[in-house]
Amino acid sequence: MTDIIHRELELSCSPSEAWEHVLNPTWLGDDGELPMTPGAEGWVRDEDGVHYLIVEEVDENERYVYRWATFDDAPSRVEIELLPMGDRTRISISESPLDVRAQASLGFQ
Amino acid sequence: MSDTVSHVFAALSDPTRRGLYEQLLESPNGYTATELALNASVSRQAIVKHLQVLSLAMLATSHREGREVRFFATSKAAATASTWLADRAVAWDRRVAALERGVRLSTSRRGARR
Repeated sequence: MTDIIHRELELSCSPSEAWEHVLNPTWLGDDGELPMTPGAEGWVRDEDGVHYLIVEEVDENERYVYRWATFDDAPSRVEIELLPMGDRTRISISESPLDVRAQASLGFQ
Repeated sequence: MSDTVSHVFAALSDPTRRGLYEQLLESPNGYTATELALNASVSRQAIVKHLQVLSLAMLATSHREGREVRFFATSKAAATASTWLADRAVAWDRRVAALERGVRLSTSRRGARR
């Protein structure tokens, strides 16, 4: 399934610095916890409420993938990729809804 | 609400189905599967299946007309999906701005220390 939302930006720092910023949940919401272990559960709180998330992939300085959902919103998968661009880092973010079958196996609903 | 959105996105993730849905949207009189098959690259049978998926996602409704079934686009499910999309887009704009701000703050702080 194709991405539904896609954002790209360049940060004026190295991938390892960018990685630290990406893993600090305060940009995703007001507060939260982003675990570094695939399968681990975390959360992000913003004005929509608490998004509960499960980490899917952690590739240090390169890639962070999780699926998340709130109590009243459809679960989706978020992929954040970091790409070195000289002394800068390109960040590519995509969010796509999980299909109905995937929702059932998630335990979200 | 959640189910509507994921059904709509799943239904419209297929290019053939998206094309059929667009054709339905443009025709106030709807289409039968036979009519849609006339200028399609897939079989009538495949089109019938795609129309069933669109109907399940509430993107299309149908009325029996003699021996044929005529399909019409409905826009309510699509509107729900586009609201979902707009909300998410706004949230990501906010997050991207926060990430950029965070990096800018820490690089300028480091610059000041030098």
